[in-house]
Parts: sequence; structure tokens; C-alpha cells
Amino acid sequence: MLHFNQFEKSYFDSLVLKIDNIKIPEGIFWIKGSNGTGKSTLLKAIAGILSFKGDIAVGTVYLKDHGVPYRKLVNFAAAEPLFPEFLSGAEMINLFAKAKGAVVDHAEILVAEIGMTDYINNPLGSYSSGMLKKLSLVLAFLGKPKLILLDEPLNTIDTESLEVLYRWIKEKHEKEKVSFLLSSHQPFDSLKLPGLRQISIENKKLTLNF
Amino acid sequence: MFLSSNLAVRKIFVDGFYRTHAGMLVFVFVMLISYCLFINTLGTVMPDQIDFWQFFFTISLVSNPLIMAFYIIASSIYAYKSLKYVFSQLALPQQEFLYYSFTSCSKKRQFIAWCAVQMNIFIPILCYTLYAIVIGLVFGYYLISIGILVFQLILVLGTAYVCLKESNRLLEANKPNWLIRISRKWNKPVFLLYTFQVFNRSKLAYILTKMLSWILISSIFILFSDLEDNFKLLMLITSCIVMAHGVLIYQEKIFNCLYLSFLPNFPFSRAKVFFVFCLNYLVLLLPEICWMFTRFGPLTSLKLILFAFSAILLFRSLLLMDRIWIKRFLTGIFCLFMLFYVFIIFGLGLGLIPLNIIAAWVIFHENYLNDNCVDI
Repeated sequence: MLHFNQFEKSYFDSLVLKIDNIKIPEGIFWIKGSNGTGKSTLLKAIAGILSFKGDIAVGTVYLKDHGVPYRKLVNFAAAEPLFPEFLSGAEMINLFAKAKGAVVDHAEILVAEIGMTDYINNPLGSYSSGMLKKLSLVLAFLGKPKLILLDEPLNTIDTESLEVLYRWIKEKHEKEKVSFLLSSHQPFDSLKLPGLRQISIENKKLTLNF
Repeated sequence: MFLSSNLAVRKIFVDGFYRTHAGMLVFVFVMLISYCLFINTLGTVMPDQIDFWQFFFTISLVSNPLIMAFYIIASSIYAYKSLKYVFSQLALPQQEFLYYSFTSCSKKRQFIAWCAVQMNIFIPILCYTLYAIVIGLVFGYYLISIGILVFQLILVLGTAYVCLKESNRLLEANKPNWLIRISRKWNKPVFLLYTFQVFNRSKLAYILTKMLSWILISSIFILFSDLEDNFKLLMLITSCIVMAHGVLIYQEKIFNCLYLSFLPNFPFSRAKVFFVFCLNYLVLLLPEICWMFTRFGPLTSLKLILFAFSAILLFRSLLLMDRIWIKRFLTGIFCLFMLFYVFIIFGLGLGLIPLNIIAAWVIFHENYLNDNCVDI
């Protein structure tokens, strides 16, 4: 599903991550690693946000050759999302739905399920960090992605929303064969995410633990 | 605890104020005053005349009510700047701890701390006031001398009191401005979000940019009054207009880094991102564009606007290069301005349009996914 080809990421000539040639199959993966090992960097590079050497492909769609179709296939939710505070949650959803080719009805269902209906039309300046996090998760599920990257999805959200998130991930994977890369310090509930596999980042390298 | 919080408050507000306003202070207190006191005059001026003019400004301050009024207004503007800085700092998330630490001291202690902060911020003004008072007292102008000092001390106490009230006020959510409220129902395209940000959060920067733009336009017309409709002059004016928008262009980069960091994940082609974001400047430059069209006709205006947009594209692309700071950016665009000037003077101004666009595209293409605003 995800193919790394001579991937190298450095900051100011200091190597952060090197992945020679790895193919990750379809599935739900937990990316483990201590602080500063480059989990967020890896997710941002896969999302097409950060520059890197080498190439990444989802299926046969390579990021560097086919940037636009690749980005339709990969959605991303940041660890600490920040959005323009003068926009409302609904406006952000419309913006993402338009870009990612999503149906607005689908967004409305997601908003209702995660309990954001009451404040979705309020400006983002009035949102708490947890509300922003929930919005970023909704945005990551819009469209028809093949891979969803969630950076620290357990941070700041309440337990009810966490249940909903687990269900979304499970259903999306089972029904639409969407793969997930989840980075987190905290362990995930393997009962709610059956088949969860682990990928570790250690010594600037990626190790598949399966 | 009080002493350590005092130190923190001093570091946050006083040191920060001087760091932020260093440019302005250097200009006003070093350049302007040394110009008044130490400039070598053209022609022959007797030494006693030099002494006279050197003291004239200072003595006028303590003897002439009109000059005194100007000085008091200047002091009040300084106090306003100081308050504005303190408020802007108090609104930052990293300073939020003050609301639940420093404010647990008694009001009296807090007031003393704020007085110390304001006294420190007022040091440049107070030094000059004391210098003027000494001269005033020597020459027998007691009333105005003491009056100025008392006024400034009241300013210090007043601003300290306002800071005390502000730091003890319960925080409220920012109310969106009128534009954001009326545009709630509009469909905001992602490429125009920065325009909304300017009218929501950077109104002062926008107004100052427009003022600078008009000052530059007027100055050039006054300097070259005999060449009013010369195309080279119009191109020079256009490059000045773009230069005046340098800070807004820089702020756009900050905005994109902070709030639109998700954008590179959107399925947009590079060409679309490269060109369409410039729509923001079509709105922000609307007053200048209207002025050009009404004054110089469609064809000339179109050429000037194309030149302006090519320069904006180039300036925006420069910001994609590795960790570019405002000082380096301003130096860079100033060097480009000088280069534009040479091209324009030699009649090659229109050639700058394709050159700018090509250079901007090459820089953009190489640095589109640069890491200059993302941490691990």
C-alpha cells in the first residue's frame, strides 16, 4: 500500500530518518517512538507537507511525479492543529470537502457523531484545543483517501470522542480498505482496533514489528 | 516570590519593549536628537550661533507652551505604544501564566511592579525630560519644567494602573470584527484567507502600509514634478508600492505557516498554488490599482499591475527559502528594488516582468516544500 523508495529526511544536514526500501501493506499501524525521533516528521513527509530525498508512493501513485492525485489519496490530521480563527468549523469542513472531493452529507454525519453540531458554526477562535482536535479528525476522514495519517490522535480528546474515533477507524478500514498510520505515545486499545500492527522508529530507522 | 515575578515581568515587558522598538528608539533618540545637536551646518556659522541653536530646541521645550504641547503629545503617544505592547504581550498564550501567578500578589505590590515596568519603559523619555528640566531651571523656567515632569510621572502612574486593571481582568473571547461577522455566510476561498486575516487581525499594518504607499507615491511625484506621466517614473512608483507591501507579504508567510500548514496536503497543482495566492494582493492593492486605472488609462495600468504582481511573486518566493528572517527578507527586497531601479532607468523595466516571474517560479519550484516553518 505505502512504498518508501530511498527515503531520507534531514534538518540542516542532520539526518532524522532514513528508509531504504520498505513496502507497508494495507492495515492499521501504530508508529511508536520516543520524543524527537521523527514520528511527526515522517507523517508530514508522507502527507506531502515536508520535503525529503527519495520518493513515496501509495499504490502506484508517486508523490513527486503525481502530487495532485497522490494528495487526494492521503489525508492528515496534525498533533496540535491550528486553523484561521476567523473561520467557523463548518467553513473549514467546506474548504476541505471541496479540496478533497468529499460529499458534504458525509461531513454532517461525522460532525453529528463526534458531537460538534452545537458549535460547528462558531468561529474557530472560540474553540478549545480539544474541539480543534476533533475538527481536525473530522477533516482527515473527508473524501476518498486510501491512507489516513493521524498524528497523536489520542491527545486532548474526551473518552466519548475516543470511542467514536476507534469506531471510525475500524469501519473505514473494514468497509473501504483505508489504511491508517497512527502516531502516539500512549498505547491504543487493541480490542477496539483489532489487527493493529506496530512500526517503531529507532536510531533514525523504521522497523516493522510484524 | 514577588522579586522573582518582578524580574519575570521586567524581562517580558521591558526587555521585550526595547527589543521590539529598538529601531524606532534608535531613530528618534539617537539620529533625530544627535541631528539637532551635533550636525555640521552648511556655510559659515559662528560657534556662539551653533551653541544658540543647540540649546534653542531644548529651551523652547521648557519655555514655549506650543513646543511643550508637542512634547506632551509625543510622550502620550509613547505611553500609548507602551500600553499597546503590554496588552499585546498579555494576550499571548505564553504569558497566560501571569494571570494565575503574578496576580496572586496584593494589588499594591502589583501596582508597584507595574510602576517599575513603566518607569523602565519611560527611561529614554524621562532622561530627555530631566535634561530639559536642568536647562529650564538654570534659565528660570520653573513652571513648565516641573509641569512636564509631573505630567510624565502621571503618565507612568496612569499606564501602570491601566496595566494593573488589564492583568486582573477576566479573559474574554475575542469578538470577531465587522467584516468577519458580515462575511460569515460567504464562501471564503482558501486562496483569499490571508485577505480576511489582514482585515481581521492586521488592520494597523494594512493602514500603515497604505500610508507608506501614498507617502512614497506623493514624494516621487513631488521630486519629479516635471515627469508626471513618464513611464519609467510610473514603474519606479510601482516598485515603491510593492516595497511598501513588504511587511504584508512577510506576514502572509507567517500566516500560511501557522494556520494553513495543512495546505501542502491539498491536491492542488504547484502552478495553481504559485499564481492563485496572488489574488490576495489583487484585493489588498485595490486602492492603488483603482488609482492607476483612473489616472493612467487601461494599457499603462495593466503593464504596471503586471510588473507589480511579478515583483510580488518574486518576493513571496524569496520567503520560501530556508528560514528567512524579516531582516534578511527586507535586505533582500531592498537589493531587488535597487536592481529594479537600474533596469527601469535603462528602459528595461518591462523586461523585469518575465524575469521576475521566471525567477519566482524557479525559487518556488525548488523550495515549495521547504521546512522553514515546521518542527520535528
